[in-house]
Amino acid sequence: MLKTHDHKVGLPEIERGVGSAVASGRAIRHLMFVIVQSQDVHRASRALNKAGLSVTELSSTGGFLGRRNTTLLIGLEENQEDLAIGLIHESCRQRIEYISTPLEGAPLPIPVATPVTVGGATLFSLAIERYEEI
Amino acid sequence: MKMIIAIIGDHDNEEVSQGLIQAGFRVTRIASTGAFLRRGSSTLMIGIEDDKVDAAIQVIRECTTPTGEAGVKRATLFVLNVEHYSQV
Repeated sequence: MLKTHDHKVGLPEIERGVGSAVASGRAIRHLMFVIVQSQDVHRASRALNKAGLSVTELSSTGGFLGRRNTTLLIGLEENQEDLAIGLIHESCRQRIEYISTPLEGAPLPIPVATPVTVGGATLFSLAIERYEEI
Repeated sequence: MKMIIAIIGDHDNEEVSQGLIQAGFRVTRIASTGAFLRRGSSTLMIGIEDDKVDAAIQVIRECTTPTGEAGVKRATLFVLNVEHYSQV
C-alpha cells in the first residue's frame, strides 16, 4: 500500500499532476467560499456532503456584528456550482435579529432594539488553476 | 503570484508548515474541520511566485505521512491565481 505513494513521488512533474487528477476522478475547477451563520452550518454541510461535495469548515467572525460564523471551502467540478448554490440556498436563511443601540437625541443613552437583517449566506466562487490530491 | 490553499490533517500540520518555512515559503495556518472524516484539519494559505508552485507542492508531498491505505488522501490542494499581491 505504501508503495503506491512512493511510486507517485518518483513520477515526473506533469505526469504526477495529471495522474492525481485522474486517480481522484474529479476535475475540480472552482473553489467556493461560503460564509454562513453558525446556526446553519450543520444543515448546510450535511446537505453538501450528502450531495457528494467535500466541505472544509473554518471558523470566522463577521465584520459588522462581530458574530461568530463559519466559512466553508468547497471544491467544485465544472457543472456543480448550481447544485451547491441551490443546496446552500435551501439550508441557510436570512434572519432578523435585534441589537441594542442607544436612542438618538435622548439625554440619557436609552437602549433601543434595532432590527438587523442577518444574511443567509455569502458565496464567492474562484476559478482554480490546478487541483491536486496527495 | 499564486495562492495555494492546502487542506491537510492536523497530525501533518507541524511538519508541513516547518518544511515550507524552511524552504522559504510563507505560510498562514487556519484551524479547520471537515473533509478528513470530520477529524481536525488544518488549512494552509501559501502565497507564492508562479514558478515555485511545483516546489511547494513537492514539499507538502514529502512532509505528509502516508496513510498506509490506498485511496485515502493526505492533502487537498487548490492553486488559485492572485490578481494583486503586495506586502505593506
